[in-house]
Amino acid sequence: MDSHSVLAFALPLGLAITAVASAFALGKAVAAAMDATARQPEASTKILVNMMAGCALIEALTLYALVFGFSLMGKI
Amino acid sequence: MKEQHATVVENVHGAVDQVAHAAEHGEAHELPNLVTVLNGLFPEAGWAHFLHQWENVIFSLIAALLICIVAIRAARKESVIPRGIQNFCEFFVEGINSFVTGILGPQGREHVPFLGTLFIYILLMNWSGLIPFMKSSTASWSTTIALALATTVYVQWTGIRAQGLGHYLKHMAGNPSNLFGLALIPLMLVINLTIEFLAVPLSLSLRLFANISSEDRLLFKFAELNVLFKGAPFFFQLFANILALAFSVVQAFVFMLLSTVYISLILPHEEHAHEEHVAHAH
Repeated sequence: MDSHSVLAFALPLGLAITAVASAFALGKAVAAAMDATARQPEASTKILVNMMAGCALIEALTLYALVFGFSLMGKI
Repeated sequence: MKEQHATVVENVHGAVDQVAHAAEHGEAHELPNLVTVLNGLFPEAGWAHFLHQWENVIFSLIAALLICIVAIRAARKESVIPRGIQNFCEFFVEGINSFVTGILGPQGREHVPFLGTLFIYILLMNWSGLIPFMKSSTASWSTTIALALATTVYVQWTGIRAQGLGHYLKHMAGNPSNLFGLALIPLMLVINLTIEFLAVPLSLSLRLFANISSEDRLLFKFAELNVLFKGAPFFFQLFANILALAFSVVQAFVFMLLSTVYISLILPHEEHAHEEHVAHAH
C-alpha cells in the first residue's frame, strides 16, 4: 500500500468518523435545547440563539476535517 | 485495447492533476465572479491578472465601502425620531449593543464599535457570495486569518490595558502562589501563549473559512448540476441558497460571540464578582 491509496481510504473514512461524532454532539445539544424550550417556552428565543452558537462551534470541528481533507486531496 | 487503457489512465491522471492544481490555487470551486470573468475575457492582459490576484481584497473593500456609505448617510441627517435608513441602523446598533453589554456588563460598551464592525463586515462579506458576479472574501483563508489576528491583538491589548502589564504577565504565567506554582511557570507560559496566540486565531479563522468556503462549493456544485440536468435540481439550489443565507448570519454571529467571550475572559474578574454581589443584594 503506497501513500496515495492510504490517503484515498483515510480521507473519506476520517470525514465519516467526524460526521458521526458531530451528529451525536449536535443531537445532544438540540435535545437539551428542546427540553429547555418545553420547560420554559417564554425563553425560547434565548435558548435558540445559544443553541445555534453551540451548534456552529460543534460543526466547525467537522469542517476542520473537511478543510484538511481538501488540502490533502491534492496529494492523492 | 492496451493503448486505450493507457489513454484512459492518462486522462484520469490529467483530471486529478487539474483538481490538485485548482485546489492549490483556490480556484474553480466557486461560482464565477466579476474578476474571474474579466480574467477569462482578457487572459493576456496584465491588469486582469493583477485584479485576479487581489480579488479577495477587492471584494472585501467593496463590503467596507458599502458599510461606510450606509453609515455616513444614516448619520448625516440626525433626527430625534429616526426613520428610514437611520431607523434601520439604530435598530442594528441597539441589538449589538444590548448583546455585548449582556455578556461584558455595562463597562463593555467600549468594545461595541470593534465587535459590531466585525459582525457587520463579516456578514456582508459572507452574503456577497450569493450576489451574482460577487465573491465571498471570507471564503479564502487569507481574509479570515487577518480578521482573527486583528481580533487576537485587540483582545490581548484589552487584557494588558485592563489588568496592567504585571498582572497580565502573572495571569499568563498561571498565577503562581507557592513554590510549586513557580516551578510550573515555564509550562503554564507555553500553554497559555499557545492557546492565546495560536489556537485562538487558528480556530476563529478556520471556522469561518471552512464554513463559507464549503457553502460556496455547495452553491457551485448545485449550479453545475443545474447546468448538467437542465434545471431539474432547481429546488436543491434554492435550498442551498437559503441555507447559505442563514449560516452566513450564524457564522458572523459566532465570530462576534467568540470575540466577546475572549474579551470577557481576559478582563479582570473582580468586577464581575462585585456585580453578582450587587445582584444578590437586590
